[in-house]
Amino acid sequence: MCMEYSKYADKIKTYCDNNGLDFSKIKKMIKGCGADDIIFQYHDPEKGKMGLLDETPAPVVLKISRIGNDIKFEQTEYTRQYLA
Amino acid sequence: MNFSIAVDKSGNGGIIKIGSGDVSISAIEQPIEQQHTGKGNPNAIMTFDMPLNNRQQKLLDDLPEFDSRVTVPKKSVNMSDLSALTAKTGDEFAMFTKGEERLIIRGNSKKVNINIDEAKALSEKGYKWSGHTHPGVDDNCLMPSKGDKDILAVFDQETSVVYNSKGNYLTFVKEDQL
Repeated sequence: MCMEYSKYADKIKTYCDNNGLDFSKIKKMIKGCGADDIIFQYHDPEKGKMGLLDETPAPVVLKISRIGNDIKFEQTEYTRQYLA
Repeated sequence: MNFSIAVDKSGNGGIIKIGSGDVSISAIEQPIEQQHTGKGNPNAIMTFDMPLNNRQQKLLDDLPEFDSRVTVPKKSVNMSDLSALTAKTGDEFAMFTKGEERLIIRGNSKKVNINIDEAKALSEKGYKWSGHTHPGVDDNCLMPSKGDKDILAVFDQETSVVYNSKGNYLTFVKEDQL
């Protein structure tokens, strides 16, 4: 099972608004999910043209973890660079 | 210690076509030994150097080097198996599915030989990108790459998965799903 992004969209937007982050940018990010986690990664449209021949990880800009009925946000070193 | 093992007890075998010859391969089984020893389990392979199970070993034998490719029955392989192969070899493996067959491609520790054009060709043939593996055991290994996103965009599907060497996985989606 995977955490559903749409279920937490409102909370993510609120978090972005409260922390000076651009929600519209997050919507365009690579999104990955596990059972209790969502990650957002920046995708440079000028890169990745080599497909699976270039597996350089995309920078993680925001992490969300589910804790009980709530979610916790974790910024990274790339958050301000790509979401501010 | 909890070993989770993915099992598909389909019951039927199938024929692998490799070049001009045919090789039979059994469907996914869970022999009694595997239930208790962790044989074929990615986490057990990484942690205790357990061997691949017979079916996985046969698959690996048909993928001896970088860019080796084999088509197998869909029921005879799953992403956990590729995770096991990655745990054993340290290489990436990619899986593409069309109907009742799966194309498995072996990469190396850093890449699989699939560029955008080839991905488009596979998509046009009706393949879906079931997923691929990244060698390693931490959560960073689950992160899709820049190239992964562009590959996913080529296929008519919304998600794909990345497995690491422990059998953990992350699902990633096309953009604008939020």
